[in-house]
Amino acid sequence: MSRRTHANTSAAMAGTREAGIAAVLRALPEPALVVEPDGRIVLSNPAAAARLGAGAAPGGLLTALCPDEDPETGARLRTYLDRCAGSHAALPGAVALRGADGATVRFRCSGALLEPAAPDGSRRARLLLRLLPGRGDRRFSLLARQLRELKAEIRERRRIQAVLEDALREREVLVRELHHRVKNSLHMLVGMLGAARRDTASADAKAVLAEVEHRLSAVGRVHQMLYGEGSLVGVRGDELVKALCPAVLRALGADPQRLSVEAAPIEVPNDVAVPLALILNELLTNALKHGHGPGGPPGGVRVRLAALGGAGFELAVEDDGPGFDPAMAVGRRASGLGLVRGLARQLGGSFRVERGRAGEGDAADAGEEGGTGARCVVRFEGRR
Amino acid sequence: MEGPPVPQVASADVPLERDVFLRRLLRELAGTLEEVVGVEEASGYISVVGAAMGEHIDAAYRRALAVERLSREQVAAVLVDLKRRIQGDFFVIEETEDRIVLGNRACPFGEFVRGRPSLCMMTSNVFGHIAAQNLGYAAVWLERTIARGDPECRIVIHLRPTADVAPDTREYFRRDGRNA
Repeated sequence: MSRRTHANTSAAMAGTREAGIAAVLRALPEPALVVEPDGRIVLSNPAAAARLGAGAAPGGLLTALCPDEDPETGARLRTYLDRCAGSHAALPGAVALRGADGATVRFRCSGALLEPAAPDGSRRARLLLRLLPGRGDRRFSLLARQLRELKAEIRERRRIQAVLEDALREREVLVRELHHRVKNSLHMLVGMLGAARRDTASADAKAVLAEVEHRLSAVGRVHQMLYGEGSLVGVRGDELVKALCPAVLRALGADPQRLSVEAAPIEVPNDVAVPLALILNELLTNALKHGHGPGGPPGGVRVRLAALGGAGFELAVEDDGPGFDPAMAVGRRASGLGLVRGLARQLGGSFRVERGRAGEGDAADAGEEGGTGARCVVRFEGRR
Repeated sequence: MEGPPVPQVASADVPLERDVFLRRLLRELAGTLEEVVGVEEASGYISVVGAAMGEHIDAAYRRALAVERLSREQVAAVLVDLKRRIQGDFFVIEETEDRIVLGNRACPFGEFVRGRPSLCMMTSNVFGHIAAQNLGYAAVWLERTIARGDPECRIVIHLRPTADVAPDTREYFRRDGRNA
């Protein structure tokens, strides 16, 4: 191949390479230029022309676009370009240039060696310089500002949370203290009623005072449970039943062997716990007093607390006595059942008396002597 | 009544002095960069600093040795010596016309370099710049690095362009320096 042909081939290859680089530049959305290490512009894309104006045209000097007010800017740009000429790996940097409108714009940039200088010094190195749009910086500062705002909000929320947690702890202490004081006050009232019962000679007065004593004791038992370690919004139904039943047995002097308890571990809210304790007190007292035939030995009493579907529950107290018709009840028994009925109605529940286990089977067998048993059932729907 | 002795702040056993402080600072700085912009872009920032450090060190050795350009033997010696001066433990494994292979048993950043691969761009750029400025061309391959968890570093510096290089090899070229 002659020297002339070789020269022609090399020139054609260089032209093709340059056209390829120009095509890549045009495809880039950000301003991009091919420059020499001293800042001489070899190629520039339309985005560069739009952003930097006529100063970005090939043949011009990029350093001529550096703002006049800071003479060091041009020197820094030349140093950066020189370093970029040392490696194909892109180096990040920053540059301030005058835009098409004359205003100074600060760009982040990325520069990398495109073609090294010719060993014989006939051609200088060429670099690809991409000017990353200012929008990125603005967006970054917006993100940074949002992050600062979010951090401030998180700090404020944490502060509020700490204040609320303090307030909640204080409230819990106060509520427990309140329950404690109520329980002490009730205990004091019970003591006063007991003293009054012992002082009176009237049997009727003794009985009435004893009933009130037992009811207040039952309410006090609930408050005692509420100021303990558990939840402040309710008590465990099984614990309430198991605490209250022995107290009623003791108060009436009844044999503990008569009683059997089956209670599910259900949560009973505060507003239900006190009426429930009163109801259990009444029904259990009633069953222990009347749960045997005339002249017969005291019968057994069964207490059952069970969960129902739909967040309801049922309390049943059953005895082996003769059974009774609530409509026919008289005296304090009637007043006790009235209290139960009233409390159940107050909480949206129901109360019924049915035949107990002792009365199941042939009704004819359940004479006055044998007894039929009574089963008192209080049912609350949706109160757990 | 005498209580227990109160520890003196100035004599407290705290592992802190200027060198440790600066190395930890670089570790945290590199870690922050790697987290915020990613290892690749963080490596770019370290490369900018590495290129500047390479210029200073290259100029200092050439001035001290009173030579316009360092020979290949001098380049290899300088690379080992500059690391020795900053408490690295580099040594020449192989030196030919085509390449210089260096090993290293101790990183100047010490234990602080572990998990910070972007800091290796300091070595790549300093070595690459010095080799390329003096010998015309360098392609640096960080074959093994303590930063990435290897027990020792192994660095291959190709002195002639070749197609047979690892993909993560970085090429360096002589700059005419007319701008600087």
